[in-house]
Order: sequence, then structure tokens, then C-alpha cells
Amino acid sequence: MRSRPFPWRARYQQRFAAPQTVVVQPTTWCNLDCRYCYLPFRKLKHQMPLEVAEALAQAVAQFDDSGHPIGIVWHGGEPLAVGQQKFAALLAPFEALRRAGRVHHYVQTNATLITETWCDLLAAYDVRVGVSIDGPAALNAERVDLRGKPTFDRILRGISQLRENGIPFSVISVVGTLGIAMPEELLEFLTSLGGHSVGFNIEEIEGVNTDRQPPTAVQAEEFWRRTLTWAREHPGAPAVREVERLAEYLQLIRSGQRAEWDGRRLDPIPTVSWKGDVVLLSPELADTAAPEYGDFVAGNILDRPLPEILRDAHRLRYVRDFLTGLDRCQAECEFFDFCRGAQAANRYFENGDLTTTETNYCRVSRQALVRALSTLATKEAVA
Amino acid sequence: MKILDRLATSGTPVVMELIATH
Repeated sequence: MRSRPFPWRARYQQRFAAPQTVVVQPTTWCNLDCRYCYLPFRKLKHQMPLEVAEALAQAVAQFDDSGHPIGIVWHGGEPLAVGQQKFAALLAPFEALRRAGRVHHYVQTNATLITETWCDLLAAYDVRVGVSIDGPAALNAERVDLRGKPTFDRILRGISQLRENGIPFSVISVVGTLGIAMPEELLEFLTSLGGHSVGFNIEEIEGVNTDRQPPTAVQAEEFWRRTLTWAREHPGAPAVREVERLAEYLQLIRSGQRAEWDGRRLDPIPTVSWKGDVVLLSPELADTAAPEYGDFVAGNILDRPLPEILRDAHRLRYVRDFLTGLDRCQAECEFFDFCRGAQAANRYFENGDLTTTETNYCRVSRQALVRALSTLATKEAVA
Repeated sequence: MKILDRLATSGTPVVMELIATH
């Protein structure tokens, strides 16, 4: 007698928790034209109608109360490009949930549009701010405006506004082939900006960013080795997000709390586009033409409540392929215990197939970091 | 021994100090 295959719903629930994060696209448009940007529609001026924000707030209200606020991450495009009046109107449907501690707003911004009145609005809604800046002027040269002009001074002005108005923020830097060889310069600059943490996104091949050469695994290992060394020499500096995650993993494993680490499931990260389309697994998959996967659209929240869309996630072909890929990662990769095999977008854009395993993202952002720490530890052990 | 297992049992200062930052 043949055994029944492990049903997809159970496989999905084994890997995925209820969403703790919802990514929202208030507009497709961006006032910058960064050379490595993956967004295909960043020059189109679509804006989210209020009815989409209202439908999303109603959906989030139906989520089970986990005791932790759901993160509503206003992404883009450039989210502040909708203007203060529209942004406040999009936040308004969530206000009862925010006051009840059920949601917390986040915004990922290029900071060029931030003014004192924007700071007033961000403070009023307790919005947590992430600023995209790559490094000092010479290493920020890929972040240009629509006329190809540098944006460094405008970003710093925005950051100054945040600091003067007491708005906490974090920093995310995209590391390309120049920055990968200059971690100390990046860290000295980025940690001096006044943010509470620094994240490094090593440049990836995804979306419409397909022609540029990303950093190699060898370069990345050197980058992380020098980053670990710098962080060790600057114990009071803001945390480096990726280093902190590795520290947390090792701390839990070594202190007998493996069950807590193992119990952490992936977030399906529903991404809601300006028109209400829902894409799961990776925000970078939104607006991607992929006929074999129905453009990754799981449904539209104007037609169907988000909890229902999530309940049927296991029926989607691309989610099933991703689950197969995760099983293969777990079976084949010695880094899986730390990495957990996420990053659906990288599998698709690099390999064209979500059932595949290793990507350049794995090599430069997860494996290289672990190898860098291992190299430093080995040197100390034999010294 | 796998690389993660080595780090999980390493008593070297670089690993101990990293964990202490958490």
C-alpha cells in the first residue's frame, strides 16, 4: 500500500507562521533612480487608493492577536513620495489597531523628502524609520535622482531632520563591488549617522537589476571578516544587523535554547501592492512578470479578505515549489540551521526555479558571514 | 564536524565576545 504524501497544508504550516509583517506599497513611484534598483515600475505614478488601505486594516484586525504588534512596513517606490496628506490618510484606517498595540508602522525611505513637518507626522503615528544610504559620498554614488544627479547631500539633510526631531532610525546600505572592499570606511560612516543599527544588503541580482556584476563569495567573506573585527573593536557602536543575528543564533544554541530557535518559523510576508494585489514570500517578487507562477499574485484584498488568501497559500504552485526548495536546503546544506533557507526571490531571479537551493545571496550574505567567523576563530585557536 | 557545530562549541575569544554582544 502506498503511503499518502505529506499534505501541502501541513507542510506549509510546518514551515510558516502567521504573518508578523505586512509590506505595503503606497506608490510605485520613486524620486530616485538608483542604478541597482530592482523595481520595474518605479517611474510609474500609481498610488494606493484609500479603499485598499481600509481593506488591509480590516484584514489585519482579523488576524489572531499574537501579543506582538504586526509590523506594517510602508515600502515602495518611495513611500513619502505620496505626500503627507495622502500618507496620513493611508495610516488612518489602522489608527484604532495602533492605539490598541496591535500594529506598529515602519517606513523604509531614501530620506530625501524628510522635513520637519514629515517628522511631526512620523512622530504622531509612532512610525519607525529605516533610511537607505549606502555610505560616504564616494560609496553612495549609485543612489542618483531621475536626472542622474547625486543624492548624498539630500539624504544627509533628511537624516539631520530625523536627529533634530528625535526620531529614531536604522540604516540599510547596499554593498556593491566598491563597498565590498571597504567595510571599515562604510562602518565608520554609517555608525556615525546616529541610527540604532546598520544593515548590509550585499547587492543582489533580482527584478530588473540583472546586468550588474554582484560581489563574489570570496570578496564577501573578506568583507564580513573585517566587519566582525571592526565590530569587536567598537563595542559601543550601533549593532550590525547580520552580525547580531549570528550572535543571537549562537547564543541560543549554546545556552540550551535550541528549541526556541528551531521553533521560529518563516514569515510569509504578505506584500500588498498599490492596487491590492497580494504577493507572498518575498516583497521583491511583486510586480514580476512570471506567467508560470501567475505573476506570484495570491489574490487581491478588494476581492477576498487577506486571511482567506493566506489560508490558501499552500495551494499556490510557487509556494509549493518553495516548500520543496526548503526541504532540499535542509537536506543538503550545512548552513541551513542558521540560514533557514528563506529568500524566495533570489531563487527565482538567480535560478529561475523556486525548487532550487543555493543562491549567490546564500553565499555572500549567510555562508560568507559564518565562514568569516570560523576563520577568525580558527586563527585564534592555533595562535 | 560541521562549521556551525564548530562555532557552537568554540571557546575562542572572538566567538565568546560575539555572543556577549547579544
